[in-house]
Amino acid sequence: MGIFRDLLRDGKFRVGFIIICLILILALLSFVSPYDPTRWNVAPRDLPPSLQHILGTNSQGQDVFWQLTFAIRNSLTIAIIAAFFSRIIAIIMGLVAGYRGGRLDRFLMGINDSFLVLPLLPILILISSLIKGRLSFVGLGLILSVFGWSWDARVIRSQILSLRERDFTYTALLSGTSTIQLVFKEYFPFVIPIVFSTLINNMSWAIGMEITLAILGLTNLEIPTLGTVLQWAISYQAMLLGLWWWLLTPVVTSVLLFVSLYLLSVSISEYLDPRTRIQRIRVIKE
Amino acid sequence: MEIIKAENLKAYYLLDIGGKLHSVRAVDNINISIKEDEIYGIAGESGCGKSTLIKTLYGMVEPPLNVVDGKVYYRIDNEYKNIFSMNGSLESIRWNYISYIPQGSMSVLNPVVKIIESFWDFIGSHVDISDKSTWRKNIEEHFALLGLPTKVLDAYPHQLSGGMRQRVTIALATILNPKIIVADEPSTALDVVAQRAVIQLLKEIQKSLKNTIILVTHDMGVHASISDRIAIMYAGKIVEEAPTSEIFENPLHPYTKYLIGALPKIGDKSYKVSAPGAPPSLINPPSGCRFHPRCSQAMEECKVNVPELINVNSEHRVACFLYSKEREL
Amino acid sequence: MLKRYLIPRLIQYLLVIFVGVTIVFFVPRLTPVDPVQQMINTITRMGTYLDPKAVEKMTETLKELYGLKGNLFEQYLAFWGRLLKGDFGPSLFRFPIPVIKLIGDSLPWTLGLLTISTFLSWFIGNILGGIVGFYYDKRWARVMESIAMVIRPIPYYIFALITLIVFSYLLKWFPLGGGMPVGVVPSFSIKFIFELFRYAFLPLISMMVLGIAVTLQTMRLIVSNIVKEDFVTYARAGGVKKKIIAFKYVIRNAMLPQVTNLALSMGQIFSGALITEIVFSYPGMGTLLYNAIATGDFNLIMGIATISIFGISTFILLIDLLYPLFDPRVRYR
Repeated sequence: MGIFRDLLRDGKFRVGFIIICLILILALLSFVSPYDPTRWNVAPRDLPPSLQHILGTNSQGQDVFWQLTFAIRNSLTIAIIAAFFSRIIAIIMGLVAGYRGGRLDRFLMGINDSFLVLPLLPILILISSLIKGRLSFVGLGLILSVFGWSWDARVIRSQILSLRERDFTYTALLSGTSTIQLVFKEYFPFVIPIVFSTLINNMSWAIGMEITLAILGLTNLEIPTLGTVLQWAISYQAMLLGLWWWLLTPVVTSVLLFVSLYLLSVSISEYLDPRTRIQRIRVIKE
Repeated sequence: MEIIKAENLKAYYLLDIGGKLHSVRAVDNINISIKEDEIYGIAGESGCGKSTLIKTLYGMVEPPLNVVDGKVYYRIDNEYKNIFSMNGSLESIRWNYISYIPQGSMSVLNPVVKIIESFWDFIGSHVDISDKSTWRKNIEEHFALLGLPTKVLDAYPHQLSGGMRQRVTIALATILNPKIIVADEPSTALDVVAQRAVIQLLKEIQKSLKNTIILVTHDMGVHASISDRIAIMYAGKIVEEAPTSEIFENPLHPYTKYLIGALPKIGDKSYKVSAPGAPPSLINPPSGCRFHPRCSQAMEECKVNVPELINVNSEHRVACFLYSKEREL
Repeated sequence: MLKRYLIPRLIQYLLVIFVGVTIVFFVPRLTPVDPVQQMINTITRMGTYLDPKAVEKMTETLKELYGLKGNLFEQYLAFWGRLLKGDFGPSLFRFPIPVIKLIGDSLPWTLGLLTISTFLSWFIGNILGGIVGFYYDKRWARVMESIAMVIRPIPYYIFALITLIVFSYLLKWFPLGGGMPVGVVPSFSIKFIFELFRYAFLPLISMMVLGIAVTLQTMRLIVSNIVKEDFVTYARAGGVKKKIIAFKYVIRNAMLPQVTNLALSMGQIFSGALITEIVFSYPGMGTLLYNAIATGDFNLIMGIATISIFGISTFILLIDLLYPLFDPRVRYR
């Protein structure tokens, strides 16, 4: 709780936190939605925003607001799945490479750096074009997690490398602690904060990737996500037809979502970085 | 004749940690005057504020460091000027009038340009260097004078050894013949041979240029071999000041006695006693005389009142109730 | 001297290509879909007449191409052999033009867009970020940083879309898409070059704004550490002019890690270029990829993925090879 209060003193964190809370409330509202998101023609078509349909309706006869609540929920779910599993890969790679060192480390980091620099989009497109349509959003989350771990693995590895040189490692080894015990009991507490600070960035990346793949028509368009909602609006030429509320809703929501996630991640990583921690000590000028 | 004077100088680090105001009193009410053509040494253990003192004397005061009170005067053209009311013109007298030699361990030269480029940057900011070939010759002569090979001018900093880099830095700081040179631990973090070379170099420069060097180091051995006068600092205050021979032969303050007593002497096999305890915090310094918790001769008075720095003879000043009852207000 | 710098980089270069190509090789085998059957279906669905013999022959070549013939190791070697010859088979949506030819035609557009936007935004972003970082206590510096902070996290697609809506649909200042006016013959006339520029302007700007925002932010972070370095403190103690300190001491040094960062983010920038091209229907590899997806042209998708892997890793190698020019510490060890 103390950490949270410290974070709230940062303006960036406050703004990000407020926006993300509003977005989460929207996502939760989907559970009380009067509509089934997969059904069409449940409302009159192409209505501009009004009291009855606060964000209007689209050309498929769906209420844009309630559609949005489902979209946010599904996009966030994909992001959480992708972030969770990629973190597991990153932790394993980082711990093993950092702790074992030597040739194994060089090999794993070579692989790691390859994943880091490879142009992921064409590869992801290759994969999803093969399993097009059959891709559930859990599956999409899993695929994204396979490609989103390399940066974090690198960060975790360098943290482990520095821990390995510390005295307590030698003390523990000399007193007969097993490697596994050492890694999980002694090193984990240091790795967890890094995992959290990169988690948000990774979620943001996954949401962005989902939107991109959806726009290209490579995800299951039946499931409302921020990407598919946008894709429908574009394929129905919403802009040309003047249905601005349909197009703008996912665009504005995703911009808000990305900006708030970014603000949170910047604020948290500044908080965790001992070098910038000193800057939080306010310097008094005369 | 005094060239630099500090009056009632107080420089604190002001910090706000978690909503609470902290002031680190690194320089607390210091009065000194330093003469022309002398090497003035400042000694004390790490964390006693000696680096902060010379930073303040040099006018390098940036938040969180603040000059809370007091003045520092330079004598420029026979007139004493308070440097804290000089504002912008302080920058312009740097290197011409006063220059700075940093700690030996620091990587103080721009790593991506050749040494000569650093010279152009420093010189060119203060004098006109449009006639580069003449200046290049001047720099080379200066190097020759200091016994440095001129080919290092075309090297990059990382290609030089630590000792050579520090000597180049000294050459850089003295190229414009400044009246005052401020040196902050110039020989620390170098190996013994390089240390000796650096100290010799400083001594020779002073001899030939007849300028003033303010030398800060914790190393009493260095002070013994080079300083003309020494000030001993403890917890942000000067506790004793005297000519070098006087300090070593007749130390008065108990803290100075510990410092001198800790020095090894040839043939002396006695057990060395250092001051017990650790240096005090500068956020919450002890009441009264700041040395009293570690002093074997502490009296009741020492816990309550702050002793004033007074003259025991014309050249020797000490702040201790063993020698005077004067209190600081 | 440089051997210790170069050899690990060459090894990494080969490793990236190896990992990338291996992924491309295994993807069709790990998915539950038979790409060969899918492809044949696509062709027949498009109404192209194929006699059974041709189908059989095509199945054979496709099997070979995707590594579905012989044992795994043989397949893998054969796969490499074809790749190194640049043989990705025929395109399906522009049958029978070879994939490599289609890629070759669209490559210059992407290359132009990518190099101009990458280098300009890297340069501008670093200078701006350096200045913002150096004068961090000034008001305008904080305003600029906040702007970058809001723009940076927006994905390429959304940002390009917003640019397109505002400047093409609403303000009508720029064409809605394409690479040059329809029916115009390429020439070296001023008018044609102007038209090229007019069509490239929005894609360029939308990539550059994002690129600048990212570079600015990382640069500001690096600078905030560099200004605490001893050589900067000392230059200030020496009264060196502020402009010299800002550019020659701070920005010059902070740019070095940014060279490496550019290399590391090249893959992302490239993906961003593909997406931006799609939004503006700019006739480069992105749009080609879009058409390939829309028509299920698996050969073309695979060709683009492979060429991208080769291209990006070569580009990164080039940056790595140029790095010693900027850093004397690597040059003279």
